[in-house]
Parts: sequence; structure tokens; C-alpha cells
Amino acid sequence: MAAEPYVTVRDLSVGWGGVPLLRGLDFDVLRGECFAILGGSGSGKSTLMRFLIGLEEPLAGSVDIAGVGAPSLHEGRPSFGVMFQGGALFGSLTLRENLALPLRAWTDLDERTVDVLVAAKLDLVGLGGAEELLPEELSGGMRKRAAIARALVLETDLLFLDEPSAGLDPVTAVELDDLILGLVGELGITVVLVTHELPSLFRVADRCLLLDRERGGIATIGVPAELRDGARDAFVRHFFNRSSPREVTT
Amino acid sequence: MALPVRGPLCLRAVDRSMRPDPPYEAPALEHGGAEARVRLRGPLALVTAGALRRDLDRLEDEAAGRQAVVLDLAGVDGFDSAGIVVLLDFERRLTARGASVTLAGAEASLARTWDLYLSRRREPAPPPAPGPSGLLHRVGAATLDAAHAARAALVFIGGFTESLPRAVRRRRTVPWRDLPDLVQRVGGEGMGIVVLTNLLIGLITGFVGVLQLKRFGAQSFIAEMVAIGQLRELGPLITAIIVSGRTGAGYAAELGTMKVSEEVDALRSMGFDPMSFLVLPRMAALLLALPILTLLGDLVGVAGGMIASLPMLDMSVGSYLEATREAATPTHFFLGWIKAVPFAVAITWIACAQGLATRGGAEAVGHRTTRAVVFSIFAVIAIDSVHAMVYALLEV
Repeated sequence: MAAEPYVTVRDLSVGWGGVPLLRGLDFDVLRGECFAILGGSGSGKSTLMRFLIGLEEPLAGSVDIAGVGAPSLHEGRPSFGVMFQGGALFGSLTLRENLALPLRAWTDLDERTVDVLVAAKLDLVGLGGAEELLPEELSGGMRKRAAIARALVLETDLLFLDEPSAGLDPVTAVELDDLILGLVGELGITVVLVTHELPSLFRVADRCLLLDRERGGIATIGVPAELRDGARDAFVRHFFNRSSPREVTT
Repeated sequence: MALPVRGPLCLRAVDRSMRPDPPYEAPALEHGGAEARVRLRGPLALVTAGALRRDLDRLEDEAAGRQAVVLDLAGVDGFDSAGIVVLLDFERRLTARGASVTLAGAEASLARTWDLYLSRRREPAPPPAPGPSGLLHRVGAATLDAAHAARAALVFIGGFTESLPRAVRRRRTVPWRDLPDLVQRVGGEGMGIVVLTNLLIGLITGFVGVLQLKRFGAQSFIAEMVAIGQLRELGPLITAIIVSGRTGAGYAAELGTMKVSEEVDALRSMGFDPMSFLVLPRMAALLLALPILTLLGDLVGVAGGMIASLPMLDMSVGSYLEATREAATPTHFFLGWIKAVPFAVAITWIACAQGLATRGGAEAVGHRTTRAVVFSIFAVIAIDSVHAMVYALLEV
């Protein structure tokens, strides 16, 4: 694993309407790793991701991506790709059009080259030949794959994935995990993954951050298996071992 | 007799055909020194939960006066979770008033259900402190809401204005290739209802106008009345109201759905500005389509007036058209037609602002769509009023 920080978060406070939901967040995502943001429902995982990618202005603190400062979505071609929880594919566009959209906006490529790139990205995620399908014609897992392909189409090396395996059957979830492993292991893409699915976490994440809603911040950061086996904190043990809170607070 | 267990949490199927429900029996209170015993008989079930609740309410004051209350369940003949929950609520109220409540004679499965609900019971939240009320408070709250809405409108207009130079710099981030399709949706598909509505308005104006003008012997001026009224006011206004309902609702619902399904966030994450990508092409489409629809509405409205008037007048088609041509000066036409521009801007801004402000799910989309239609119709009428006042001041 490379040691160079790619995403650097310092003293970050995030929330809505001036009211902080999470405070004092400090962590680094290292280049080439799969870093998971973990937590229970309502702990602020997806909210944190929105602030990391610049969709919202932080209440305090900073996010730095690749040493060039906070992400700004007004400054042209984005330096990262995002897959939202439901895929967020444009419903009126075919998969080809969904993937071609950022290519046409941010590159000078001719249509034939665009088609070649779109087909290659769809092949990469296992959706080759589905170019002319509309999102409504796809299953949940296929929509997420297509969204990953769209997030990759501008040749980014940083991906943010919001709950990729949520709502999928175990087989499809494993297939998606394998895809993420391939992106990290074979293409060297850095992945920031929001999830609450422990099986998926243990399969794909190099490190993880666990959010605790009660604390309003980070409960722990570390390697998932080590946290599962050696955590002293009751909340962390509870989360990783899925035991009753009453058993671990004694 | 074993109790027919209907299942804690209602997870187990109930075969009601096996036997009829036993009749409900009201609980009875018995006294014995410091102890009160509430004897429950018959079924504790969903169908009798209301009656049980009312009967227990009646016994509460009397039972709460004792140090100990025993809920005697030996006579219970069948139960489900609803019956147990009502009984637990009775227990909570007695406990809160200082009584010690115990169960007696409970069958094992009933006791398990009791324990399960008891272990998961949360104390009811205290009622919220009464907030300020009264007319003054409501006026203040409405004023604040209006101020927030005005601020949001200004922020939206500012954001749109700010996006214009960005859209020029990054032309490829604006989907101009969608413009023909948008114009078709706004103009082509809206043409039928605009034509029909303006035709009917023209017919109404003609019928009413002839009858009223006849009273003064001025029926020969019907062509002038229809032409000026349609070109300056009715044509642009009716067309814009139809477009507010049709296109305004469409814009708001489309953008609202994109917002709640994170498509707008996805656009932003790919570096697209929603103002440039979504609002600007829709604004352009309406700016192109509404003047054309207005022109069409004007013509059809005038024709409707003629169709209604001629059978009631001793006037030839040629004479009517000549009178119309003389009355419908370019000034009258232009003063009405030019209003299509501010109407298009207002409808697009309001509808897109409402759509992009959507948070939540399908209900929020419906709510925002309704607001978009109501606000844009109001804005159209307000803009028309301002034009009428200005024209009156300028005596044009």
C-alpha cells in the first residue's frame, strides 16, 4: 500500500443549517487504497461523502484532494468520479448517452472515439452490449455498475462510492465487491467507499473509519479485521461483532 | 385449556376459521385491603382492544388508590399483541401513580409477549411546550416564510445570472442539442390546448361582446373589441397561464425528480452546473416557444370572436376582417406579444427553482410542483398587471 495521502481531511465539521452532525474529523485516504467510511444508519456516512466531494460547504476544517485544495465543482472537469447510492443515472438517457455526457463536455473527442471509450468502460464493469438500454431496463446491481462506469469514464484515479452493495442480493454484492477489488488492485484507483455492509467491508477495504453518531465524530480508524478482533472500545466491538450493546458495555 | 397463541409481534399466522372469537368480557376490580385485583376475562385481542382500553380507563382511578395492583390473567381466553399493549399501557399509568403492579395467572406465551413489549417500551415523550400562538405569531411566521422565499428567489436568480458567463465559456457543458426536443415539448405538444383555450375565449368574448354592445347600438365595434382585447391582454395572458400549468408543472416535476434521485448531485459531481445544464436550455426553449404560442393564441382568439359574432351581426366576413385589421395595430399586437418574454422568464425561474429546491421523496415533488404552478400563474397575472399599469401611465 502506498503511503502518500491522497485525500487529507483536517478538523472537518459537517452538518446542516449550521448545526454540526460530525465534528473534528481528521483522517487521510492513502493513494491506491480502498478506504471505507463505516457507520450505522443515520451516522452521517453519506453526508460526510457529500462534503468530501464538495457538494456542500463544510462548517469548519478542510478537505484536500491530491494536494491541490478543496474540491470545487465549479472549476471544470472533476478530478474524481462519484457513484451515488441509487446510481443516479439519467433516466431519459441510454447507458451510452449517460457515459458519453461527461466525455462530450470535458474532452474534444470525436463521436467514434467516445463510442469506443464508452463501450470499453461498459465492458470493464461487465455491461458490454448494454449501450442502448435505458436505466429503467437494468437491475439494481447493473445500475450501480453502470454508475461506476460513468464515474470512471474521465479516467479518474479517485472514486467515491456511496453504498455500492446496499440493497443487492449476496451474489450481486460479491460481484460488485470483485469489481471494486479489480479497480483498486489492477487499475490502482483509490476508492473511498461508504458502507454499512460488514461482509463487503472485510472483502474490499484496506482501512476504514467508523462514525459514531452519539460522539458526533470518528469512533476509530484502522484495518477492519484488526478492529473486529482487537477493539477495546465497546461501541467498536459492538459494531464489528454485531453483539448486543448490553453485552459489551459490561 | 391451552391458550390459542396469536403470536407476539403478530409474526405467526392466525387461523381464525378454527373457532369463533370468544365474546368480550369487561375486566372486574376486586378489593382486598391495600391490594386491588383486576380480573381479566375473555380475549385480549385487537378486535376488543378499544373496549378493553375504555373499561381499564374507568377502573384506573379506583385501582391507582391501592398500593398493589394484581392483573389477574387466569381467565384470559386468547390474546394477541394489541391486547397486551393495552394492558401494558394500563400498567404504566398505574405505576406512574405509585402503584405496584404484578401479573398473576398468565400463561407462559402471554407472559413472554408481555415481557418482550415491556423490555422494548420507551417512556412517552413529554408533550412539547406550547409554542406562541395567536394572530401576531402567525403573521410573524408568515412574514419570515415570505422573507425566506424572497431570499431563496434572489439566490436562485443570482445563481442563474452567475452561470451565464460560465455557460458561454464552457459551451459544451450546456446541452444545446436537447433544445429542439425541449421546444417541441413546450411548444409543439402544448399547441393544441393553447389553440383550443384561446378559441373558446374568443368565442366567449364575441358572444358576450355583441350582446352588451347591442344595448348601446355599438355592435359594429365588436371586431375592435375582440382584436384589441385578445392581442393586448387575453391572448398573452391565457396562453401564459396554460403554459404555467403545463410546462411549469413539467419543469418542476422533472427537476424535482432528478433532485430526489440524486441526478442533480451526479451532474454536479461531473462538473456540470445545474443552472447551465438544466435551467438555461429550458429557459431558452420557453423563450422561443411562448412568443410563438402567444401569436397563435392571438390569431385563434380573434378568429373565435369572429365565429361567435358574425351570426349575430349584419356584417360580412370581409367587413369584419377589415375592421379587425384597422383595430389590430402593430402597437396593440406588440404591447401584448412582448409580455411573452417576461412571462417565459418568470415561469422558468419559478418552476426550476421549485424543482431544484425539492428535498425528500415523491410527496415533496408533488408539493413543489403544485407550488410551481400556483406561483407561476400568480407571477404571470402580476406581471400582466404591471404592464397594464405602465401602459395606462404611458397612454399607449
